[in-house]
Amino acid sequence: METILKCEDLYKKFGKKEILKDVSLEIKEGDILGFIGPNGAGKTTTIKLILGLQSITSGKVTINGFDIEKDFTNAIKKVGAIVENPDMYMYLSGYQNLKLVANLYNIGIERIDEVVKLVKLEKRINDKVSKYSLGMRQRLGIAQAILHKPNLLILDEPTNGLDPEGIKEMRELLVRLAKEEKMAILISSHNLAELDSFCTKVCIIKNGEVIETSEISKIKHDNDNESEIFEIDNAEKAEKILSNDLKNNKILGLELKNNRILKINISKEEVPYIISKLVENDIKIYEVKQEEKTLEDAFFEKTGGNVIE
Amino acid sequence: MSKLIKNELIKIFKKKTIYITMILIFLLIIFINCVNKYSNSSYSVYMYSDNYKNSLREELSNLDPNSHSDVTLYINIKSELDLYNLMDKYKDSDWKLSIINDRIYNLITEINTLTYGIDKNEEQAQKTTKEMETLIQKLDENDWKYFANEDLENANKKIEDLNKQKEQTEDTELIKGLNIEIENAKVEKEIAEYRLEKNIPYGVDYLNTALSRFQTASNTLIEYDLENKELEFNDQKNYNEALCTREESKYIIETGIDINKSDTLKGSLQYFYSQYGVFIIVVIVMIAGTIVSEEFNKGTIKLLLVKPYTRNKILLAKFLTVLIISAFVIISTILMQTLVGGILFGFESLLEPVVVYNLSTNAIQEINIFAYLGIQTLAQLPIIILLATLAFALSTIFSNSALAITISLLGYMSTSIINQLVIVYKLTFMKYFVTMNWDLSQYLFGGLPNMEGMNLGTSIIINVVYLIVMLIPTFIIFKKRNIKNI
Repeated sequence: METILKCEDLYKKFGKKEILKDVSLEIKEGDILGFIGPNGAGKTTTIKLILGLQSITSGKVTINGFDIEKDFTNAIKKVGAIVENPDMYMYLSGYQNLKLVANLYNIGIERIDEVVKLVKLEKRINDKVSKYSLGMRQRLGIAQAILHKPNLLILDEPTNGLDPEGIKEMRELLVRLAKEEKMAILISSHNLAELDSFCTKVCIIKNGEVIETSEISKIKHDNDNESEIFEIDNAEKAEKILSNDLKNNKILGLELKNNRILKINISKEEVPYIISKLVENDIKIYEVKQEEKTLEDAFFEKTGGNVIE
Repeated sequence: MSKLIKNELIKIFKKKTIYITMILIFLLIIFINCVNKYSNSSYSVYMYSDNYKNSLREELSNLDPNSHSDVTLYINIKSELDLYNLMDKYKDSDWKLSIINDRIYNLITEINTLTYGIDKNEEQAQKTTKEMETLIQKLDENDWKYFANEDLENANKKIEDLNKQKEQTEDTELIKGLNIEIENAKVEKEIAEYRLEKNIPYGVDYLNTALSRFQTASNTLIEYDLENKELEFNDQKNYNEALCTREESKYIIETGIDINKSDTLKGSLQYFYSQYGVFIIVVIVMIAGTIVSEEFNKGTIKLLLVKPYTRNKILLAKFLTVLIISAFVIISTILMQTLVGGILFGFESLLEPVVVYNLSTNAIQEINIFAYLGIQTLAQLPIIILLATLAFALSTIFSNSALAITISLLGYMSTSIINQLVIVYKLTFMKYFVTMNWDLSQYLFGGLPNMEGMNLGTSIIINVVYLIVMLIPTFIIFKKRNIKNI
C-alpha cells in the first residue's frame, strides 16, 4: 500500500506560542485516519499546514511524494479538502459553486451531476447556498472536495450540522470512497462515536503533540491497560484473597464493581492462575471476559479530559 | 490562468453589486442629460420682473427731483426705468437689447442728468435726445450694421490718433504704452470687420461670446508679445492658454460652428471624463477593494488556495480581472452616455469633429469624437489603474475593504488640492509625486505640464514605478500570508 500523506515532525510557532510540537502522521491509500483531540489541540492548524495554508516553522509535509512547500501545485493537485467551515460562495447556487471548481480542473458537467447525486443534493442544487442549512453546506463542501477525484481527502469536522441520518450516509460515502477509489481520508472530529465505527486508524493530539497513533483495534485493547471482568458469586471474598498478589505485582489492579463483578487488571497470561486460585477458594465463576474500551474511554484516558493550555 | 480569470469574472458578474452600481450610473446619466437638455432653453440675460419695475416706479414717485438730496437717486432710478421701458419695446430682438444696454443707456443717463441735475442744460439735453433718437431709428430700421460700421470707424480713428501721438513723443515708456493701445485698437477693428463680414449681429449668442473671448485673449497676447522678453514657465502657460482661446474663438467666428456646445451628444462625450470620471473611479475602486478582502472575510479564500495554482497566479488573476472590469465599466458608461445622449439630442452630432488648437503644430486640429475620447481615455488610464491598484493592494494587505476604498477615494478627491498647493507654493520636489503625473491630459495637444521640468516620458515612468512599488509588497505579503482561523 502506498503512502499518500506523510507529515514529519511538524512544528509551528505563532510568535512565542508553540502551536504544534513535532507532529508526525502518515496515511496510506484506503486508510481513514481519525484525527482527534480537544478544542485548541492543533487539529485545524495541522490541516492548514498540510494544505499549505500556513507556513511550516520546521518539519515537512509530503503528499504523493511532493513537498507541499517546495512543489505546491503538484502536491495539492490530488487533494480535496474542507477546512473549518464549509465556506462556499453564498450568493451563488450550489451548482454554480461546483462549476467554479470544475472550471479549475477541466471537469465536465457529467461529473458534477454524478457528485451531486453522491451527496444527495439533487433537489436543492440550483438553490442559492445562502438558503442552505449547515448540513446541506457540509454535503456541498464534500461534493466540491471530491469533484476532481482526489486521492487524499481532508475533512475538518465534516459531521458538524448533520443529522443522524446524514452522518450515517456520510460514513457510508467515506467508507465507499476509501474502498472503491482507494482514497486516503483524514477526518478530524469531536464525534468520537462516529470515528469509532469506521476509522481504520486514529491519531490523538493534545496541546500540539501527538499522544497516540495506531490502529483503532490496538487502542481499544491496549495491552498496558488490559482488564478482565470476572462475574463471581462472592466478589468481596475474592478481593481479599487476591489482594496478596497485588503486592508481588502479579496483579496490577483490583476494582470491586459490586458483589458479583470484580475488575482485575492483569496480563492475559495470568488469567488461568486467577481462575485456579478462585476455584481453590470455592468461589463460583460464571463468566470471564476482556473489558472492551470505547474510543471515547481511550480518548479521555489519553488526553486527560479537555484542558486547553 | 485564464480559468482563474474566468472564475473571477463569474464571481463578480453573479453578484448584484455591479448591476446595482451600473444601474445607478445609468440613472445618473439620464438625469444629467435631461438637465442639460431642459435647463438652458428659456434663458435671457435681459429679463427683469414686473415686480421690480413697479417697486422702482413707486420709489420714484416718492422722490422730489427738485430736492437737493434726492436728485442723484432720482436720476439713477429714472434712467433705469427709461431703460426698461425701451427694452420692453424691443424685447424680441437680442441684438437690439444688447445695443440698448451697451450704448443707449449711457445717453439716457446723460439726458436725465442734463434735465434734472444740478447743472441743467436744456440745449445739450435736446442735442443728446436727438442723438438717441437717431440710434433708436436705426433699431427700428433693423440696421445693426450701422453700429458695426460705427465701431469700425471709431477703431480706425483711434488707431490714427494713437499713431499721431506716437510720432509726437520720444518717451520710450509712453511709446510702449501707445503700442499696446494701438494693437488693442487693431483688435477692435478686426472684431468690427468680423461682424460685418461674417454677418454677426450684436447679442448674447455663442458667436458674440467667441468675439469677446477673442478680444480678451488677443489683449493678453499683445501684452506678452510687446513685453518682448523670455517668458517664465507660468507666464508661458497663461500665454498658451490665451493662444488656444484666441485661435479656437477665431475658428468659431470664421466657420460659425459652436465647438464648445455641451448640449449635444458630441459635447457630452467631449467632456465625458470631467462629468463621469468620478463615478467610474468609485465603481472600479469598489470592485478592486473587495475582490481579495471579501474572500478572506467570508472564508472562501481557503477554497481558492487549495487549488493547484500558485498564490502569485491567483493574485495576478485577480488583478487582471480588476483591469478587465475597469475596461468594462469605462466602455459601458461611454455606451450608456452615447445611447441616452443620442436619444435626447440626436445622433447626428457624432459626425462633428472635436476642435482643439494644437500648440506643438501651431494649428487648429479637427478630431473625430471617438478618436478624441480614445485619446482622453489613454490619458486618464494611469489615474484609473493606479487608484484601482491602490485599493487592490490595501485590501489585500489589510483585508479591510472599507479602509482600502476610503483611502483610494480620498486620494482621488484630494488630487486637485494637492496639485494646486504644489503649483502655488512651487514645491519643485513634488514634481515626482504621483498626483502631479497621473493625469496625462496635461500633455495633450502640445500642452505644458503642471510644473516646469516635467515631461511625458518621466510621467509615464513615475506612474509605472508607483504601480510596481504598490504591487510588489502586495504579492509578497499575499504569498507569505498565514490563513488564520475565520
